[in-house]
Parts: sequence; C-alpha cells; structure tokens
Amino acid sequence: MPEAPPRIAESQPDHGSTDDRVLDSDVVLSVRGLVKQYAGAAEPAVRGIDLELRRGEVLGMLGPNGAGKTTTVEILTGFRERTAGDVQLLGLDPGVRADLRALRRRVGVVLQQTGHLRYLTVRETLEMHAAYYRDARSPAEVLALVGLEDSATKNVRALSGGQQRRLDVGVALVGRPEVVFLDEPTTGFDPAARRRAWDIVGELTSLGTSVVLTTHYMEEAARLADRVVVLAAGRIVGSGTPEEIAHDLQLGTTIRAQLPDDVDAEALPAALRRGFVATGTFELRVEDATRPLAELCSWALERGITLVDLDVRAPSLEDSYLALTDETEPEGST
Amino acid sequence: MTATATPAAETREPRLPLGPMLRMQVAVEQRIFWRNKSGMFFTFILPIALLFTLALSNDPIDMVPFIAALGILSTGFQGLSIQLAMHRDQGVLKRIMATPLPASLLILGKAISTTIVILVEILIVITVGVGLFDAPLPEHPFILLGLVLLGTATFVALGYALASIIPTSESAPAITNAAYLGLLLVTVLIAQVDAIPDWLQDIGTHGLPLRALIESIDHAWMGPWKASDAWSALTLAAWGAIGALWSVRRFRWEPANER
Repeated sequence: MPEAPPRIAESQPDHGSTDDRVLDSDVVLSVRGLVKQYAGAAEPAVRGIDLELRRGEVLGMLGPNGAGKTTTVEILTGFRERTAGDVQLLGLDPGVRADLRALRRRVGVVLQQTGHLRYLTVRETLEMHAAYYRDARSPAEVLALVGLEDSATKNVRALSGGQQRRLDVGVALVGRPEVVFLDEPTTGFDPAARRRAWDIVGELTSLGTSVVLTTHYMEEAARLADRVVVLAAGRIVGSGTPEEIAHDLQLGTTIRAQLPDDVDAEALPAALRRGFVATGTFELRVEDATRPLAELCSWALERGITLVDLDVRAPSLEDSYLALTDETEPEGST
Repeated sequence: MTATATPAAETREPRLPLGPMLRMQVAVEQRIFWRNKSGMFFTFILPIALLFTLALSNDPIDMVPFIAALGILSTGFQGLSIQLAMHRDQGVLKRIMATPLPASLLILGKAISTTIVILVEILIVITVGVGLFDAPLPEHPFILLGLVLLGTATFVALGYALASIIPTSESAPAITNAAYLGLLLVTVLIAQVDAIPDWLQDIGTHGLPLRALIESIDHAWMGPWKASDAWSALTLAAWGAIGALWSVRRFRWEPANER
C-alpha cells in the first residue's frame, strides 16, 4: 500500500492533455484514471475515474452506497492513498506529503464520521479552528454563513444532528478554502434542513469557492451541481449537466396502462403492439408521446375499454440515475 | 486568491502561525479537562482518597511519593489513552487532521496540558502529605520537578502507544485498566515478594518504568539522592523513546471501522 502511486511526468510539455489542464488555471481539480484497490478486497473500490472541476463550479458526485464516492473524496483530501491515477488539486498532488500540507490550508472538508470536542461551545470550536489559519473567517462570520448564530454558546454535544452537520460545514469554511469537499453533507436531514444546507452551498459558490459534493439524493445534485457524474461500482456511468444526463439516456416518455385480460397484442393497433408487455400490461417507451397516446385512447374509446391506471411520464433525474446504476448492478459493489 | 496565479506561486505560502496554534491547543485541552467532572475525580479525588486509605496501614512517608507517581501514571497514561481512543472514535482526531495543524503540535499541546494537570496534582499531594501526614518537604525539589516532567513525557508517549493498540473506545477502559493494574501489580510484587530472585528484582527495579518513577521520586523527595538513581531516569527516558517510536509507527487518527 505505501508504494508511490504512478504519476504522469509534468516535465514533458508536448504530452497533450496532462499539461493542457495544468496550464488552465481555471481548473482547480483534475483527476485521471483514479484507481483504488483496498488490500484484501476482491474488486477495486474505484476503477479508473476522471473528474474535472472549474473555479466557482459545483461538481456533484451521485451514486448509491458503495459506489466509491467516499473513497474518491478521501483520496482527494489526502486521507487515503490511491492505487493508480493522476490527481491535480490546485496544481498540487494530495498523495504527496509536502503538497498535502499546503492543501490543508486551502481546501475545506466535510467528511463522514468526523466530530468535534464535546466540551467546547460552538463559538469556541470555531475559535479553535480560526487559530489554524493566517487569514481565518471570524467565528461571527462563520456562524452567520451556516445559520448557527443562535447556537453560538451551546455546547457541541447539545446540538441536533442537523446543527452538528452545519457546524461541520462551518468549520470547513473557517480557512477561506478555495475548494470545499462535502461528503454527503445532508444525509439524515429533514427537508427544511436540507434546503438550508443548499442555501449555504449557493452562498459558497457566489464567493467563488469550488465545491465537490457527494450525495445519493437526485434532487440535491439537480439543484446544486453545475455538472454531475454518476458513480456505480467504482465507475463513472454518466456525466454532464443534470439535464444532459436525463437527455443522453434517451429514456423518452413512458406510457403505461392496464388492459383487460382478454386483449392480446394482435388486438392493438400495429403501431402500439410493441407496448404489449404481458397479458393485461401495456408499457410503451417513445420519444414523443402525442401520437401513440392519441391512438391508444381512440382505440380504447372505439372498443369501449377503460384504460385503468393510465400514466404518462417524462424521465426525471431519478429515472436516469436508476437506469445508469442498474446497468452496472450485476457487477456488485464494494 | 486570483484566478491567474500559477500553481507554483500558490504553493509558496506564509509560515503557519505555530505559536498561536500551540497556545490554542493548550487552552483547548485545559478547557476540556476542567469541564469534564469525571476526569477530575480520577485525577484529584482518587489519589488523595487512596493516600488516606494506604496511610492507615502503611507509613505515610512511604506512601506519599508512591501516590505522586501513581498520579502521573493515571493522568498521563491511563487518562490520555482513554481520551485518545474516544476522540478517535468520535472522529475528532480525523477532523483535526484535516486542518493545517501539524500532528506534532496536537501532540505537544496535549503533553503540555497533561503536564499542567499533573503539576497541580503533585502540588496537592505534597500539600496533603506535608500538612496532614508530616511528610518532609521535598529534599531535592528541582530533581523532583525534572523527574515529574520526564515521567509525564514518558507516560504520555506510552499513552499514545497504548491508544494505538486499543481497537475502539468501548474497549478502552478495560484495556487501560488492565495495563494500569498489571503494571502496578508487577511493580509492587517484585519489590515485596522475597521469593523473587535478586536478578529479577534488579530488572524490575531498574527496568520497569513505574518502578523507576516511584524509586526516583522517593529518593528525590525523601533523600538521599544517589548516583544510581540516574539509571532510573535513563530507564524512564528509554521507555518514553520506545513508546514514542511505537506510536509513530502504529498510532491511527481515524475511527477503527474505516479501512
């Protein structure tokens, strides 16, 4: 495990993509071919993923548990060694000790399974973290950013789960980070708390901070991320803007209905026959639902058939996500 | 940070505020110690209660240096390793490792804070010993102070070493109590049981950290301080070095359930 990860030499100017992105100062994070194989695990947890984050952007990493999101974030924040791949974060490599020391001052992290000293108040916790940076945000400023003004004198252990997570975010912002990693920042939140957390992320990007956000909530990625990568079983199975992901899959619109049991495929108009899934079940996926829907309805009206549970649906990000992660499911996950 | 800065320029950063960092660490450690009532019971009430109990059946003059040494053991070794295991499980250590604070300053801050607590504890033991049990004032106060500092450093290092073999905070009290009592038992037994051959007694007296601490504190306090007591100090330092080396290799900052 301690062996140095292979790195692409930076001193070869004619070698295409690597150097292009080093020179592009707008790119704050660039990951190529990241692989993580845990000792003793049958399959790699991360199997060669590429990521890119530009200044002021929010990159959403979406995926089910075990997809490799947390492993990726922990590699990028210097808590894990990578097995292979190239990582450039603010022009530095978190896998190199000296680089990591510099990154600790410029990168804020909200990880899973971290905590704060239970005998300190919220304000004291922020004061402690402020002592770690040259140009720290004042506790008052951070309290306002994460909406904890009313809890400043509360003991950390007296905070609710949502308040503790907001303190996690606050602590990550003390050092005015250029990049912030948020690993499932809203897991376990109620909807109101989640919406407040989203406002914080919005505020961050308006300050020019770049954000890497992992989540398994579609809605969260759609709402916050400029670009989304969908991870499943350690691979990127889709990437783009939230809208592009939905579109690229060309899921089309789905028309569903229940048919009477005595209707067989032959009884349907020719154009609709492929929607006959089984006796009693009609499900047709089309690019444009207007004509098939009209045909189905007029056919049913002619025959005096009632279409039970008629349902016409456009693809949501949720559908795209399930479609993407389903494809890789047979491979299993970590 | 401007968007046009080159990576090379961005890596040249001003030095970390090491002084304020260390001051803050000591202040924070002090705060969490004095706010934790159960920790204060074990640090201050228990040794004094033990002193009163032991003084009933033993010569209090022998017991006072013994209690002082036990205070260093329970605060520096037992208390610290339990705290480290808990903070590791709660993710407190991992969270701090994600900041620019160097691990060395975190460790130094804890060591300084522990030393402050132990000095207070020793002062109480001296006050009670001299005031209530007619113990003499320390004969070699500066040697005593030096031994307290050395002993604290040694048992802080051993505390980190012990914490590195504690898997989770649930098992921390059991493991640290076993280590504490085991060390105490072996130390006392070797000195008290006549059947133990002399060479083994010598190893126990000069080789074990607790025995070395008790003996040397006793001699610095009650006199006479002999040249051979310097060996006890060396023994302590050697155990401290072993603990430190072990910790550097084995100590983990992250909760056990993470790979």
